[in-house]
Amino acid sequence: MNVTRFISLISLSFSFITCFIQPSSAEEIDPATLPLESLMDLKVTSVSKKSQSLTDAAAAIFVITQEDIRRSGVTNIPDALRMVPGIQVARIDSSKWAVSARGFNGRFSNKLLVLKDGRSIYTPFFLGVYWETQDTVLEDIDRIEVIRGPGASLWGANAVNGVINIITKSSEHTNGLLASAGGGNYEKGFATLRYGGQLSPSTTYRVYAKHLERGHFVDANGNDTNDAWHNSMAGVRMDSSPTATDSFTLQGDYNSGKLNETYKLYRLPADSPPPYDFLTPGRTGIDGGDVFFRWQRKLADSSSHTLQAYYDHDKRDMLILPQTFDNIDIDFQHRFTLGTNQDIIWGAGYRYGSIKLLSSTTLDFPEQSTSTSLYSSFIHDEISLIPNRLSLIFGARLEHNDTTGFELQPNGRLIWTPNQQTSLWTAVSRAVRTPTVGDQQIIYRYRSLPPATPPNSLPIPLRLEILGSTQLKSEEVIAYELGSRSEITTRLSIDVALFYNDYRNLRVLKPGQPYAETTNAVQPFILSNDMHGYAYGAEAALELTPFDWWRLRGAYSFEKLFMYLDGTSIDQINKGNAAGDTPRQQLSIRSGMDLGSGVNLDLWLRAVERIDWIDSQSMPGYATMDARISWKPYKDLELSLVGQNLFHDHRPEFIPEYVNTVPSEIVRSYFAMVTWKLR
Amino acid sequence: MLIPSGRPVIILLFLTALLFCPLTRQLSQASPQLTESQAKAVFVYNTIRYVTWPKTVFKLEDAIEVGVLTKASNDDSWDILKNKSILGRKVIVRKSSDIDDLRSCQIIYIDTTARKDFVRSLHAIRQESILTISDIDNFHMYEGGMITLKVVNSRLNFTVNLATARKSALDISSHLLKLAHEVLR
Repeated sequence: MNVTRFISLISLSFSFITCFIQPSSAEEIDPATLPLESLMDLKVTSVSKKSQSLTDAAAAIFVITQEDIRRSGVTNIPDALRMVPGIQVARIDSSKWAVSARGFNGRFSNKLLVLKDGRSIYTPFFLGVYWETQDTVLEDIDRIEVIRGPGASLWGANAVNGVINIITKSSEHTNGLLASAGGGNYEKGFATLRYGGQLSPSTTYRVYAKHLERGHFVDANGNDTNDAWHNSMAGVRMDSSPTATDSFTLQGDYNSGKLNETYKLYRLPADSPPPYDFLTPGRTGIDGGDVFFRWQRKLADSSSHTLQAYYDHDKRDMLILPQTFDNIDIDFQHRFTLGTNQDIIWGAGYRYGSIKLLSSTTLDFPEQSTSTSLYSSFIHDEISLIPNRLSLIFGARLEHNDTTGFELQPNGRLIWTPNQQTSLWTAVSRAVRTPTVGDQQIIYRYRSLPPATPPNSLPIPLRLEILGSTQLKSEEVIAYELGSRSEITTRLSIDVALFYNDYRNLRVLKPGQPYAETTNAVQPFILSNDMHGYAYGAEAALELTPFDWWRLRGAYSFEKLFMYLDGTSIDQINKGNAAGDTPRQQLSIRSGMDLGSGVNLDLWLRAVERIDWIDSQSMPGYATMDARISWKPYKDLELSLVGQNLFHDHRPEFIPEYVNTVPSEIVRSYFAMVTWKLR
Repeated sequence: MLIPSGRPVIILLFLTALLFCPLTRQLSQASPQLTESQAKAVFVYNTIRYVTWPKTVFKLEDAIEVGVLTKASNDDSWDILKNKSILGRKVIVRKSSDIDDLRSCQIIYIDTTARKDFVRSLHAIRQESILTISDIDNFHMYEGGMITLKVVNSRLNFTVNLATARKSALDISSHLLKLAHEVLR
């Protein structure tokens, strides 16, 4: 039986079952006919899931609110993620970020799923997220939900160590004009214009345009590292609810920019005498866009259908591998209650991806044009064992991909809420990171070494290369988690999560059979699943409001990873990266003060322990501070001054692995900004 | 062949199944009942009759805006107020997790999911004439909190802090106060 039919059959049987077991609903009541007296006499029912927020979920979740974004002074999404415990954020250069959850950080950190308004922005072929293009009007972001730990059953593939869900406001809430602009020493200039309005009583829209120019960072001696960049974007969103039960969202975005970068590349020994390495500047064009549509139909209370579809396009004329990706994705979801105590969500989806590449001397792929298909289905069942007190959750996702076939990712969770202020949860989950077509096909000629120069002991030049493999299996994690949330008073709450992750089949390199070319020898290294390991850690978030005008937010993370090579692998570098590129401890403390007369003062202190091992180097730990002062002279106008990385002139945070761009050091920056909001 | 083969057939069957869903639901419709959260929404709607706002607070001439501060974006209890009007004004429900989005409202309901830090939310709107209602325990005891809703023995009851409401230039009629479990003056 082919996969489509298999999934359709599952869906079919589900929809039949769910139709006949749906409980009766209470939607016909007109509240106007219920005078207050009768309302007070009416017996009401309580449905467990009804008004449950995501923050009551049985998972390690942290929500960045619009206020958090506004008051932190951040100018981009990845920097906002620095406030989340258990998330590692580091800047490689002016336009590149490394972001991951619970370890395995890197520009191509492949164990984190990132969604923007329900659209996956993880680039599966390139094993990561191009954060530099993931931008929007920051004022229009409603919240960013960050889930650490496996989230595959609800959200999808590659949610091995976490899910980041960026949610923008409905156009219903972005009525009127927003104009903001600013600039400073590093943020050379940025401007945003957004207008929202109403097309009909049930339909609202907004349109936006944004442009930014960012400067360069510096090297250890303070010299320009040629990594300045600019990006422009524009988009539109429309939300409509023409009937009481239907709502539609239509959204489209486009971005175009150019970024400077410098590559360290190696010539082939056959083409040139030593030295083989050379630096070359690149100017990379980044263009992308998307169209997104969602239809939601409410069937009854706690029962709804959602159908969404999107298309996205990403083009990058990167020096060593010009690339174009196009994706089409369609997903269906159905939520309903079963009996009085079960809340079920199930769904199915299909994604088609088209990849077009242009090989170079450095990076080569036998198939320059290829396509991928991913079929998926999931179920999530929350069973209330004791109403409002104890719930059991089962979830599973079944996927079929082109490289490893079927993958099952199940999880089980338990949440106990002894009272409104406290909850305790625990979870066990399995998640996988499936290899991509790129993993199977890559030929990466990453280094050439002159004769008799360590690590080359041969009397002739040696070329090193990485080769993909069709034998690759999925990388796998079994995660055990325990957490608690407690509101000690209305002014103090603490959120703690502990985890233990057991990893198998992690991807490293194993030496292949050396061979000779006319002038030199070649040592290939083949991608293989020859590493296992484990990690444990603790994360805590604290919210304290000592006075109505002062709030404090703290986040602390501790984690340790241990890795072991299997089989014939001698890949100490990737083993070292996996075990050593995560700071053991991170601390973030944010203070927000409302000083009166429309003046706010925000301070953000961050301390990050050293990175022990990243591509044979170490990165020093650091402590730094951002500060923002803002003043609202009128209701609609806000002026602000922001200083970032105040404690250092410049400091290194990370280096790139795989793609050899020259890293740079993050600089102290200042900027001023004006925001004008007219409703 | 027993089972018809081919994708179109399966898709067709699937769509048929979906079509039948609303039908089967109607067949099984039982006597209407309100959930706790719906009852709270209906309560909020009813208060509109018994509260007098300063004329200047209405940003829209023919509508009253009810803000719901909530972190439960999937909560659809407030849909019960969709397309309703009262005293010649259309009721517009705005749901948001950001108090800033709700400043234009005449009533703000703070859901328990937004209880974390609600004191600051109240502080942020302290200078506006907004009726504040919540089901957070002892809401009316906090600065800016006006009406606390509570469910006791499956029945709704409420407590009013009249002094706080008057500070915000709101007038609550005696009819509403009579039904209250307790009134702080």
